[in-house]
Amino acid sequence: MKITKHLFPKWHLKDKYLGVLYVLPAMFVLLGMTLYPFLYCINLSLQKWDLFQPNKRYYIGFTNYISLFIDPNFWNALKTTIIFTVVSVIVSFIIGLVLASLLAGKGRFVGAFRTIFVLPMIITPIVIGTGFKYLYDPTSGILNYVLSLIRITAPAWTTNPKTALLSVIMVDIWQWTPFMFLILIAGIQGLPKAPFEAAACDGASCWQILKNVTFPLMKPVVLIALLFRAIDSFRTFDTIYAITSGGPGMLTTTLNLFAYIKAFKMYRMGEAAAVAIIIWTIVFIFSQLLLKYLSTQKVVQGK
Amino acid sequence: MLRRVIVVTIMVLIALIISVPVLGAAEKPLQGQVVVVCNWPMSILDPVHKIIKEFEDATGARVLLDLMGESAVRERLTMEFATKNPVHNVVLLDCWNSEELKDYFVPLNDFIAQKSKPVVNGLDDFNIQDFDPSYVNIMNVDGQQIGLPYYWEVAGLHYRKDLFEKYNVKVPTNIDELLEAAKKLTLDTNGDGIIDIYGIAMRSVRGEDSGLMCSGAAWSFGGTWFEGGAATAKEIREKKARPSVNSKQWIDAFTFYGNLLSNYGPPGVTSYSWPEVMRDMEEGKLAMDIDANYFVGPYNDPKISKVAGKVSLAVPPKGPGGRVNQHGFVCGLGIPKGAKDQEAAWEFIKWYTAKSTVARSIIPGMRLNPCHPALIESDEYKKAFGEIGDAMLATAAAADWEYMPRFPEISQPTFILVDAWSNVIAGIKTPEEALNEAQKEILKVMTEAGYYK
Repeated sequence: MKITKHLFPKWHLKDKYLGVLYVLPAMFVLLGMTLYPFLYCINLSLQKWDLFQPNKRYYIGFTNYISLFIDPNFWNALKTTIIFTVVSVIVSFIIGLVLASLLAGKGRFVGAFRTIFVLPMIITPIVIGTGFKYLYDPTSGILNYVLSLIRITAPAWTTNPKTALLSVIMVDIWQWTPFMFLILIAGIQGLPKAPFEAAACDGASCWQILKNVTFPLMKPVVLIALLFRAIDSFRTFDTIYAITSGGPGMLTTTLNLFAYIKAFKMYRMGEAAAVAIIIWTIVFIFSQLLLKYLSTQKVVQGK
Repeated sequence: MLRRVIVVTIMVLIALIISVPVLGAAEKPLQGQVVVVCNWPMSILDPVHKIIKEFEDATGARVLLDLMGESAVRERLTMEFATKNPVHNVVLLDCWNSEELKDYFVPLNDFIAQKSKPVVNGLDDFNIQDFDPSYVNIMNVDGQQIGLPYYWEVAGLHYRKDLFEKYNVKVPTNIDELLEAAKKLTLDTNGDGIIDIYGIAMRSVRGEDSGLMCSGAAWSFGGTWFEGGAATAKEIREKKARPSVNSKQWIDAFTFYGNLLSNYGPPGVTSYSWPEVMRDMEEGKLAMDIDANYFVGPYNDPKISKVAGKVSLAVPPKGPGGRVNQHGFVCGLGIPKGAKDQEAAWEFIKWYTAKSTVARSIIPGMRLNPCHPALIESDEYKKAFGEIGDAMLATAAAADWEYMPRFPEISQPTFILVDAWSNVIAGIKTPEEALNEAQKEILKVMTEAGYYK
C-alpha cells in the first residue's frame, strides 16, 4: 500500500479500498461461476423449456414445481436419496471413527496405514463407479467369482431389487470413509490432553472417558464431518450413474440422477432446473440448521 | 561478389520452400476450414478414419474427430443444442428422435442439389440415389433432409449353431419355439451347479436403446404406441389417437419377454445394453440374443470372439401378432445450425458417406451394413461375407420401420416405456402395473403437447 502511495501519490487509495480492488477479480470469477448459474437456474425453473421446441420458451411460474410435487417418481427419488445419504453417512462415520481412534497414536506402520486408507478418496468417482460396475457383474465380475469359490451364490448385486441400492451405498461408503477418517483423526489429535489426564486421575473408565470427555470435545468436529459428508452424499451422481444408471426400475435413482434424466433423456429443461433448485434448498436448510446448532454450542461453551 | 550470389541464391531457395505450401494451399478449395466431428467410435468406421488424411490433403480442410461413448455423445450434443453454440459442425443424428431435433439441424437439400466439387475420390461419385431410400427418408423430416445415413441395423436373432446342433434344438421362428430353445439351452455344462450358458439376452438397461427393444417386442405381439397405429405427429393429431401402451398386446409382450429374460437370461440382464450382450455372446455365455443384426460380424471375428465361426444370424421370431420382433435403428451425420465452416462440414459428410469411401471399409472394418444397396449386392461383399451377408439381407427384408412412431415429443414417452420395461424385467412391477402407469404418463405428455385439443 505504501508502494502505491509513493508510485501514484495523487491517486493512491486508502488501504481498505485497495484491498477490495485486489480481491475484485477473484470475486468476479467466483460470482460468475456460482451466483450467475444459480440465478439462471432459478429463472429456468420458472419456465417451460422443452429442448425439442427451441422457439417455445416461456414463463409458467411454479408449474414445474407443482408437477414435481405430484409426480410419484420425484418422491421416490427423494426417498432413495434420503436412505442413501443417511446409511452412507452413518456407516462411514462409524468406520471412520474407529479407524481414527486406532490410528491417532504413534506406531511403526501408522503413517503407511493412514496413506493407504486415504487412497479411495483421491480416485475420480466415475472411475470408481465404472470399476465397481465390472466388479459387481454377476457373470464376469470378480466379486461373485471369489464368492463362488467358497460356494456362496451371490446375487446380481446391481440388478436385484433387494441389493441394488445397498450395492451403490457400499461403494459410497468405501470411497468416502477416508474423508471421515481424515477429519476425525485431525479432531482427535487436536484434543487437549489435560481433560483426559484429569479423568484418568479421577479413575474414569474408558467408556466414561469416551462418553463424558471425548464426545463432548469432539462434537464440533463430528458435526462438521457429518455436515460435509451429508451434503456430498445427497448430491451423489457419478457412481450411481456409472453402476446402475438409476435402475433397476427407479430403485437407485436419486434426486440428482432424476434431474439428469429430466434434462438429458426427456429434454425437460425447466423441470430439471426445478429439481436442482429443490436439491439446493434441502441442502441449504440442512446446513443452516446445523451451523446454527454449532454456533449455539460455541455460545454455551463461552467461545 | 560470389558470396553475394550464394547468399541471394540461398535466400531465394528458402523463400521458395516456405512459399510452396502456401501457394499449394491457396489452390485447395477448403483451405483454412475446420471440420469438428462429434460421434461415437465404431470398429466399422476405423478404416475410414485412417484415410481422413486423404480428405484433408485434397481439400485443405482440417478434420478433428471427437469420439466418445454413445451416451456421452448425446449428452454433449444436448448441451450444444441447448446453448445454441455448437462447437462441432458434423454431429451424430439418431433416427428415432430426428423429428424431435429437426430444428437444430441445417437442411442439406440445397447442399445435395449442388454439384459436388471434384476434390477427392468419393466426392466425384457422390449420388444421393446410391443410398437405400428407406435410410435416407428416415433422416428426412417434413421434406427437410437433415442428415445422411452411415449406419443401419435391424433386429436379428443370433444363435450358437453348435449348441443348437448338439442339443437338437430348432432355430425358433415363433415365440413358443423361442421359449423352448431358451429353456433347453440354459445349461450347466460342467455339472458344478452353476449355469454357464444362458438361454437368451436382450437389452434392458434404462436407456434409449431399450425403448427400441420393448417397442419392437410389443410390435411383434400386434401392439402399437397409439390407437389405430398412428405413427406420425400428423396422424396422431388428426385421429386424436390416444396412447395404447397398456393394451393386451403390450401386456402380453412384456409378460412374455419379462419371464423369458428373468428365467433364462443372465442374472444382471436388467443392466444390459449392447456392450454387455455382445460381451456375453463373445465369451460363449449365451445361446441366443435378439439384437442388432450387424453383431454377427464381431461375433465371428476370431480376434475378439471365443465363439468365432459358431454364431449364425436369423430373422427374429414372429409374435402372436404375426410380426417379427423389431428393432430398427439408423444413424447418420448432420450439421447443427449455427455451426462454423458448414461448407467443409458438408464436403466431409459427403465424402464420409459416399459409396466409394464406404467400400474401402467393407472388408477391413467388417462393415456388413453399408447404406448402399450396390455394395451389399456386390461380388466383393458376397465373397467376403458369404452366408452371413445373406442373413443380413434376410433380416433387412423382414424389417418394418413402422414399429416406432415419429413425433417431436418422443424422448419422454420412450423413457417412460424404458422405465416400465426395466421394472418388469427386474420383477419390481407386474406388466399391468408398469404399463398402466406408463399409459397415464404418456397420455399426460401428449395432452400437454396439445395433441388432443
